[in-house]
Amino acid sequence: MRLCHGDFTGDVTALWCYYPSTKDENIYIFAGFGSQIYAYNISDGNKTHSRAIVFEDGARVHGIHGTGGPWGPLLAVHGGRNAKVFLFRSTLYRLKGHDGSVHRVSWAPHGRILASASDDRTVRVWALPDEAPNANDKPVTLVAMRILYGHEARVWDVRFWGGLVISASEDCTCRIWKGPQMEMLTLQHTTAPLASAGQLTTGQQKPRGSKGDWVRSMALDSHDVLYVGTNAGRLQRVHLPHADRGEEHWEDLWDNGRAEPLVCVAVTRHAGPDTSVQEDGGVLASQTLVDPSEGVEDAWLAEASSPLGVRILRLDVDMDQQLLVCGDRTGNVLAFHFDAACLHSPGSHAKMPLIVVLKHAHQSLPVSLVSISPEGSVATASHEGNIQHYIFTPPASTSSTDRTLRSIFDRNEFPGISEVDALLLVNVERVSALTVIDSEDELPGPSGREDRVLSGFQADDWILYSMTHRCELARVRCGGWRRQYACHITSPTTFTFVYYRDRKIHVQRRRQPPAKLNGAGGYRDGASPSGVSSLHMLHHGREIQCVALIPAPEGQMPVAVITGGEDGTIQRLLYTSTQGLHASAEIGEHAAGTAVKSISVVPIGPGACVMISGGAKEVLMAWQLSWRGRAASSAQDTHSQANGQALALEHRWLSTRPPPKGGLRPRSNAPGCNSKGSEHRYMAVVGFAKEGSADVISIIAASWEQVSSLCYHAAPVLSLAHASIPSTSCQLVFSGATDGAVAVWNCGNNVSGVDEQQPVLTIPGLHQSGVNAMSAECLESSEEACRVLLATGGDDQALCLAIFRVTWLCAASIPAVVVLASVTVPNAHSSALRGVWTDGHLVASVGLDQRLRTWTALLKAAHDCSSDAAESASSLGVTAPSCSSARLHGSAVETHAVASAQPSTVKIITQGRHVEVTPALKSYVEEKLGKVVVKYEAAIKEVDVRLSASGGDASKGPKKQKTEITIYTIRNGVVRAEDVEESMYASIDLVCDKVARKLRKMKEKAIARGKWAGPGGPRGGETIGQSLPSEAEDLVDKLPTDQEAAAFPEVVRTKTFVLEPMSLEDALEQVEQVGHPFFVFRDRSSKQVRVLYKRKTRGYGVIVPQLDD
Amino acid sequence: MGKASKDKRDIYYRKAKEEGWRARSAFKLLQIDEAFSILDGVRHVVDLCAAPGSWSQVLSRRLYLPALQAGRPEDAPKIVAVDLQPMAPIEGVTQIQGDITSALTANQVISHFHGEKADLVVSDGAPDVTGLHDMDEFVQAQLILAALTIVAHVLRPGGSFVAKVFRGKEAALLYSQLKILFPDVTIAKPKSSRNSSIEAFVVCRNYTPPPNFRPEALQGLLDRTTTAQDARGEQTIEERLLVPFLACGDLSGYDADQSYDLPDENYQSLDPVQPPTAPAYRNALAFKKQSQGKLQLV
Repeated sequence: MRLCHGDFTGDVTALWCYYPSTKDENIYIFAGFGSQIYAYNISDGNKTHSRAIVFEDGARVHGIHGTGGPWGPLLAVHGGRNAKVFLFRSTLYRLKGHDGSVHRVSWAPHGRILASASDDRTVRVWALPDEAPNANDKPVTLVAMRILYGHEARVWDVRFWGGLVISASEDCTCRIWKGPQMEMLTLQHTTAPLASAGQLTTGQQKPRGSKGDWVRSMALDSHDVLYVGTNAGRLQRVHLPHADRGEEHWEDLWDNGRAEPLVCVAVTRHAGPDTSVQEDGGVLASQTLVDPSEGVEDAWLAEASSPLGVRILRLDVDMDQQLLVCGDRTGNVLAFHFDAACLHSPGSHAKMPLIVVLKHAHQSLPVSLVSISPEGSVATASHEGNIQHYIFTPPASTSSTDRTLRSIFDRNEFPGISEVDALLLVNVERVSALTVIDSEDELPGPSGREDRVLSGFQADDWILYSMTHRCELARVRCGGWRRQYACHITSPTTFTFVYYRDRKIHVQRRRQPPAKLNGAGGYRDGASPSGVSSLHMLHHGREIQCVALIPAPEGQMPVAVITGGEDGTIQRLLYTSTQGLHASAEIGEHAAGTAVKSISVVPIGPGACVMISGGAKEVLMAWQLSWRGRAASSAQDTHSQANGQALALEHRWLSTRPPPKGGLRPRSNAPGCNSKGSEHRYMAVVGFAKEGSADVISIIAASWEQVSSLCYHAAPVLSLAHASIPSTSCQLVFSGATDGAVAVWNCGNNVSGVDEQQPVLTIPGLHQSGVNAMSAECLESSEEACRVLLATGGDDQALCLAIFRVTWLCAASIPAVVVLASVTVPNAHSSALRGVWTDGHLVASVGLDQRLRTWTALLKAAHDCSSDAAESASSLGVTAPSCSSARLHGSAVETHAVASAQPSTVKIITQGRHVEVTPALKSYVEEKLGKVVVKYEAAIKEVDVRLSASGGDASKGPKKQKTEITIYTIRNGVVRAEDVEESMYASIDLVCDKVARKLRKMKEKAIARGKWAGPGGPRGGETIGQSLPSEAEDLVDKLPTDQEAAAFPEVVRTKTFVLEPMSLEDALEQVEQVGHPFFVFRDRSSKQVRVLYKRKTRGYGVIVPQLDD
Repeated sequence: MGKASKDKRDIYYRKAKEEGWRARSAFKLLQIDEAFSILDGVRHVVDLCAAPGSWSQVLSRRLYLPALQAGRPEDAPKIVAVDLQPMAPIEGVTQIQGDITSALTANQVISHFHGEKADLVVSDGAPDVTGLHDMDEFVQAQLILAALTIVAHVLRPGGSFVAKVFRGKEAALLYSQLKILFPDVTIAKPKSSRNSSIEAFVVCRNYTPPPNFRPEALQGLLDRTTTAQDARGEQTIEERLLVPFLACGDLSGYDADQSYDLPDENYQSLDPVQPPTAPAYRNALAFKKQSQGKLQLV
């Protein structure tokens, strides 16, 4: 259903729907437009509407919140500093008191009390008077009943919930207000508990046994059965009491007889109800299986001893893979071959062979979690809050890309052990909510899908955390991980947690309650969701800074869209034409959460690539992305759709460039020398692969060796682009800085040692302001030379294209780069450009104005690019009119996006002055004028039609209808025509004829001069960047803005300056100094203004104005 | 972030304090003037949304004080500053505390000019930015509309208008609306405005109201001439209006995006020249002070 209003243009700023409790009332939708409210009755078929002015002072309506009442919907409306209570069409109450803008008004459920949140850091609670309001009376001014102070920044939102007032503020807090007075206010309401998702029961259990014995370890078998291992080596079983019945019941199971402490108790589900007790004394990890039903079965099965001599804290066994992985106190991860046969030969005391040692995998922190999933992947975690995922791969099955990567990121630390890589690090996941991760489970979540739940500690609290929804599920204050504890989690909302404190065992339980929430904001019966579900996730939450697209191999459908944001995360989405954007996942988080500024993708093999991301504070990280899934072969074409969906993008973290010494803070330089290179707020990254090998070179070498530093720019570098030239080792890198300068570097040949490179070519002031985006592409190349097209987008709203010629003379390692031609489109967007992409022919740009524009670079067919002399004929132009604009919805996208080429027709812009441009009028203009201009389409940039009216009914004088048509051509100036008639349609007809004549004349002239771009004229564009001398150093000073040829005459700058009286000699000296082609001065003797200009051939000329008498 | 750190990260913040400007935005007006010479020959100026008063300071120092020093106080240009907030006094600046959208304020301004109209209206007003760019742009556009209503009342034909804009999604619409009143519209980005900020300034010159233009009907006029989007939302007209862009300020001078080192180790970080006079949250602050940081329910 669509509600629209014919004569209004503008934004709807607020919406509220009134849904009555009884059937016979109407359903209304209230919408705020400007300072008015429109009420749409959507019950009747006609969708009638009425409107009322709310704010007489013109303030916009920013929000509506209504409530049902005995007199119909009662609306609370706010805008600016005003807030009002409003019965439709008449204001009842004004709410007076806020010092700043009001951001929200909200009613209590019973509709007598409302709360408002404001810029002035307060929440105000207002109560309506008891007596019925009279709509005909003057509005009553209400004063706030309560002012709730406490927020430390502006308050965004406020809501009532039962007896509570909940407010959310920019100080990142939510506050819940429930003072004694507040209770008085909302007395007639049942107070619904805020956190009614579960019940916590607390019990205390004392360990029995001899004096001095204490609990050394605990394990939960189910919610009710707890195994306790004591310091004196006894194992006990406790049946925990239920909330409603019974005492706890203790039974002794086993005593090891040696009074050795039971350090760790674990329950395994292997072959019946066995309990395996793992006891580690120093370097040993030994196992004792105890069957609780039959008593002690056996003690010693097998032994795995760590070569490192450090106490082992955690271990996990996988029988299928015959793998035992353990982690020790100093962050080492060890894997042993666990022979399942030893289970059937008790007493063998077999030694388990060591297969993997990952030394200090967790820096030097104790390992807190080791788990082997049924799929065979291993996860380990420690007290640093990271989960590392490994794939256990038998050595034979490693793929070639893995081998390549391994040679780059060399992990050969234990040469004695052959298969060091059997545990391959796949991913490091940062969990910000937990510092000590204790367990990781996939549990059935509320929506039926698996919910990934972690448990662990942060400071003194035990926390249950959902990784799927990125939220905390429970928090128990227990004293931290150093105390004995055990937990048993069966669903995100059902768990039992026991901990030992003050010589007592405390039990905390939460069980999913039958959800019964009624009334205010609650769910209706039967529809209550159980547990948590997140409504909004994998959202950067801050500005997106960079985007990269990775297509699936062999042109299959899913395209991965990788975004990096200000929030420090890199996330990815998959795109298919059928499903749209889907399958979002977080690839990772940047070190220290610093903003991701730039992403560069380097393909290293079929379906695999290395992604390098750079961010603020010099953070550089490398990731491997690879497509997994069956590749569609020709025989399976019928199933290609299914195969396409089976393709999945896997990511793994590879390396992080170690942060600079002194942490990630920006370095401060020694006093005096200014900050070249110390500016790390911006970071641009470009990566490329060396020709012919899969080695990834330069900035992502194994240990993040800095290969070269490019020092030319004085200002921060905003963007980088790279063009790799086939058949040579030359890698051109372009850099653009905030001061608008662009530099060209050759980064191909040097691979070792840090050297400070000098640019091959510099172009200062290519843009007036910062160079925000760049893209480069090699056009054509031969043995000795090639041409490269560079597209840049600047903060100054301009798009600039430049063609460079690169030559190698006498096998010199440094190529000579010269600018052949350049062209600037001054107002490519109506705001700063943020992304540019080119493939050498098509150019796409996006700007902060959220438009995507595609351009075609008109390259004159060049001669053989190795011949020097003919080179000057090479030229460049831009077809501005063939720019098609697409509105980009959503927030500003900054991207190097692959845009599809859209052939476009001429845009006709119709504007009316004192005339309403009706759709009929508009389509008439477009039809009529479209026929005329379509023949000249290739040469026309823009068509502007202005319709205006005067006289007649509107004002004095005879009725006049005027049509003006202005056609901006690419390089034949402006064609204009206008006509005044009594009828608008007549004037359009006549003016179209005039324009057609003028256009024809223009075309004939242009063809005669060889300047016609469209059909009938010479092919290609006209030389705009005139032939330039081929010495690079000459170009450096000449390229800036004077080189840009405006597509049509326009004044881009007006300059006023004082005319000093001076002699002709002085003026000549001045003009030589400033280097301008002209100079205006006042002659000292005659006091007249003279113009000195540089003649084309040689010398100067003077223009002396002659005044008429 | 400490004060010294901000001094390092923001050169113009430091320079503003050193030169006694109340806010770093003073440099923006100075650099705009450098490029456009808008302050030359100006006799009557209005500064809208003046608080904390850095632009008024620029006007005072560039227009009023030179005349005073030349010993011609009677010839000094008249400067009127309008803001909803109270502002600490500035020499040579008449302050009006009022709503810029009301005709009453406009008349008050003209009465200060003894019936003459202004040559220049400047407005550096911006909402308290939220970081949600779309919302900020909308509120900023509303603010410019409000500024235009007073401009229509007080600006003489041929006068100039400088205002802050956010160059966002609908920037082109705003330009086309301004083009109705000013034939000469330029977008200026002073060097002191950060590259990373979407802020820019429109410099509108040669005020030419359309014939039969009633300033009171400005709001309606602006609403009705919007061509950006048909109310039915089916056809959109691509509005491409070429508004020239000009970066101003000394391009080889200080870069607002770069960190600069403090002059020496003994550098004393200066206090802000003018703390906020009457923020909306002053009561909240007072209560916080009273309860020494403890939360209080009133």
